[in-house]
Amino acid sequence: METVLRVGFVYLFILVLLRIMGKRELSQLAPMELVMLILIPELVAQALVREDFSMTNAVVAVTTLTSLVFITSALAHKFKRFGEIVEGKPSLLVDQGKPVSETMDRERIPAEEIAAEMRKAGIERLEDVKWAVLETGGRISFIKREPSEDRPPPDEGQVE
Amino acid sequence: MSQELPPTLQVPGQRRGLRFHRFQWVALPLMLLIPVLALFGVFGETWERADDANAVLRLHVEYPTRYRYKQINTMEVSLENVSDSPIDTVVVSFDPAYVRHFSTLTFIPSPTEPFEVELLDVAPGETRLVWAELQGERYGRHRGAIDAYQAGSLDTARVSVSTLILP
Repeated sequence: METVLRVGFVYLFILVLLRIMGKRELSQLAPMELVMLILIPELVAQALVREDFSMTNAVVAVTTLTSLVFITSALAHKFKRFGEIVEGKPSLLVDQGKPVSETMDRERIPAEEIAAEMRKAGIERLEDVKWAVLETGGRISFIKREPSEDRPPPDEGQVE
Repeated sequence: MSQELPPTLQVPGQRRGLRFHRFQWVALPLMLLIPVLALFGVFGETWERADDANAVLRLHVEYPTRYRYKQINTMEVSLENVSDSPIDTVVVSFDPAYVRHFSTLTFIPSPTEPFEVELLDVAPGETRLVWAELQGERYGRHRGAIDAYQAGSLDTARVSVSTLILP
């Protein structure tokens, strides 16, 4: 049945697009991302089921999708390299209190966003951050410095 | 490439395997089976051809034996005058018990009586076609017959049809 092939194609297509978009888009909805998430289902719905509104077709489409998600997840768990391709790898945004501008530019995360996430985590200054990691799900996690650890000079670790 | 995580944040390598909950051993094959069956056409459309003949007519019907709710399919009925003389009127009759399970019924040529199409002046050796467009409306298997006969004659060519409409 053509629905299986259509769902399979659209699943892979959207998966690749989301990987291209980057990790940060997965966890937050800026206006343009909201537009994208609203439009994608509208655009692909017709292509997926065409004029076939039968329950049989819906069951086939849904089980195809869940099967693909399960297989992808199982392969990503079993094979680390495959998991990195599908889900990406965590990226270091702050290293020993210093922003890693290369990663921030690649992931399109401005210093203001790191500062906002720091405030949510109850962290006042960047030099208090040992590492900030952009996780594969798009969230930023912080590892704080121990009080006894050396801190970088304030001007180097300043988030503007 | 993104800057690598510091060694203390990296997870040590470990053997990766797959384990499943008990219910998943049953449910997952079922879930995976549905798309595979669909790929092999188990839930798709199927067609069948059937023939019958009487002394003057050969009836050939090509009809859908399985399709899905709200889909539209066409039954093709072909009639050949196998006699040596022309036939004034050939009547093709669709079993009401069968066609009433479908909606949006369209017959080409147009019916003269409910579910009956008349073909006029069929020359010897000539083949005429009748189409019936049927939209799947009621789930389940529907059975009936297509009859063809010369008007005024009791000698009927009959083909039994059976169509399963999937929900």
